[in-house]
Amino acid sequence: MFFSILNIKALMKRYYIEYRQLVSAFFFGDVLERIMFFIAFGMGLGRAVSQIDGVDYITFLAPGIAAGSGVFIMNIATTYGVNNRYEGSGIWNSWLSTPIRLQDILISELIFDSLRAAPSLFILYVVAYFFGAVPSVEGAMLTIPILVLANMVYGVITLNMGVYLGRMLYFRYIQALWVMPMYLFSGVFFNIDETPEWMQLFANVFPLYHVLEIVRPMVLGRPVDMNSVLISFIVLSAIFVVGFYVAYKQFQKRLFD
Amino acid sequence: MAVIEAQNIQKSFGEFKAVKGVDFQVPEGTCVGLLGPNGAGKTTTMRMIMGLSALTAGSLKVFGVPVDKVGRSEKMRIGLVPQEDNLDPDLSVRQNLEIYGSYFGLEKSYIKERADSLLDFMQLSEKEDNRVNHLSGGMKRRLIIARALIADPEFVILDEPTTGLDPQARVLIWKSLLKLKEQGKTLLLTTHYMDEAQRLCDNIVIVDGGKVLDEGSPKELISKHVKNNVFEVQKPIPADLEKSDIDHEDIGDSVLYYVNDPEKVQGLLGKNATYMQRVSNLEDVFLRLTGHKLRE
Ligand SMILES: Nc1ncnc2c1ncn2[C@@H]1O[C@H](COP(=O)(O)OP(=O)(O)O)[C@@H](O)[C@H]1O
Ligand SMILES: [Mg+2]
Repeated sequence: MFFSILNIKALMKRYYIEYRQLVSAFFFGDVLERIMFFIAFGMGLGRAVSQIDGVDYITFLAPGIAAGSGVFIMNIATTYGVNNRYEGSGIWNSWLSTPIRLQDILISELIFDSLRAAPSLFILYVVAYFFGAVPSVEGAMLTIPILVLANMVYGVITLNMGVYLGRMLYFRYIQALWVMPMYLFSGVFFNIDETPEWMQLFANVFPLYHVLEIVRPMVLGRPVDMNSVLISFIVLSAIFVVGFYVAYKQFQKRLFD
Repeated sequence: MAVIEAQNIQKSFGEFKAVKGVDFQVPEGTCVGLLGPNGAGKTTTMRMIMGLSALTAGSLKVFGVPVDKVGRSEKMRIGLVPQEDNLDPDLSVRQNLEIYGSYFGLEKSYIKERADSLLDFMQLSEKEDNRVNHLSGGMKRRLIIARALIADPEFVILDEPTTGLDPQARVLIWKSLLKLKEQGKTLLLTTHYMDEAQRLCDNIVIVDGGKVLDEGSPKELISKHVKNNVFEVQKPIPADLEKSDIDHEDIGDSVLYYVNDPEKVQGLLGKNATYMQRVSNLEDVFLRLTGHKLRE
């Protein structure tokens, strides 16, 4: 097989030890900021906007904030985090001097960071629940594994951007030209269907838009269109597979050439 | 069997040729020293052996396997001490060993046993719970050597293991390398300390500018290039000596004369010459072959 389960397990353990030490730092970075967005916009803007898509604004917002949180986690982890490991501390070199291979490192990095988001999502939903913004608790819980998979897709994209740009100073471009546009124009804060046509078309570029199309109805307790779920799943999987292969090739070039 | 067989290996970074066709072998159970000034291509060569850098051309076999086919079973048999300190900053001293051991897929109990004995071997037991950032340079180096030995490899590659260390730490590392030799391990070593190479290595490969200049045992290289004795004679050189056909090298303010029989030079020195005589060593060979000018 292309990947070695044995190697991935060993790396997971290494990431877990780091995570355990830094759990509070991860909490502040991953969750607190999202909670503040949720409360500020939900309670603030929610007063002005009475109903949106048939529900309270804060209820509409909750799945948006949840689905969007991984975009930030994965961006930081796959750009700054990864760069620090292969250039800063150089520990990838030490790993690659053992039976561990590049593909094992890349997939482990993506899996661990994606999983790391799961507790954050849970906390977000708990907070939202206290604001009465989770109509379907089962639906919300079911979105967690879906969002973990979505994180793999967000992650593989920023991983490619990071290795392509190469230097930490350039990673701001990713934030400015990909992460923020995706966050703001995928329908986290408003209903895409009510925007001008060009904005609706533009939203299609972003994985977050497609993820929200699946996740929002689930949290709102509405029926999900299985056909569109299937299509989204296939498209996102294809992006992941191609993205992973391209990232692998890019890293091979950068590290070994 | 040779652990490493390198034939005409080359490495370019873009236009720049860092390694320009190097041949050498590392026979099983020997210690080979790769010596050369900064920028000679030693680290690049070692990285190619480890699969951390792809060959531009040439053939490189590790345990008889072409380097691009090297897999888990070969990697299990090699330990690397890299030139840069790349310990895992988020782990403690002991964790750096144990987690590293898990990358080799070793049993937990075996790893723990190895870690205990290596911490002891490298005199790091007292520091086992410290974060690695808090270690001194010498301790970091010792930990990196211990880490390279966690899977009990047959072949250990050491890229400047003692550079920048105080004499005490160097002696400790020498001793541990001698012990590895006694255990029959194969070693490939780079160092800027010629006394270290002379003491540890069975065979020396001298490289510069990405090419092999010469190779042989320390003894062979010394007698071939710098005889038994070297006289460093201050200028002006006595006329008789200057006229002689004794093997020599002008290094600016003075001239080095290489002879087997010291009396041959002493007879030509005259009364007023300022000079220094000593038994020649590997450092003389190194300087003679790679020149006396400063590098990178
Ligand atoms: N990744 C790289 N990109 C470009 N040049 C490099 C790279 N690595 C090494 N070099 C160059 O290759 C030459 C050999 O380097 P190196 O193998 O590190 O030498 P040594 O270890 O003998 O001091 C040097 O001139 C160095 O600057
Ligand atoms: Mg070097």
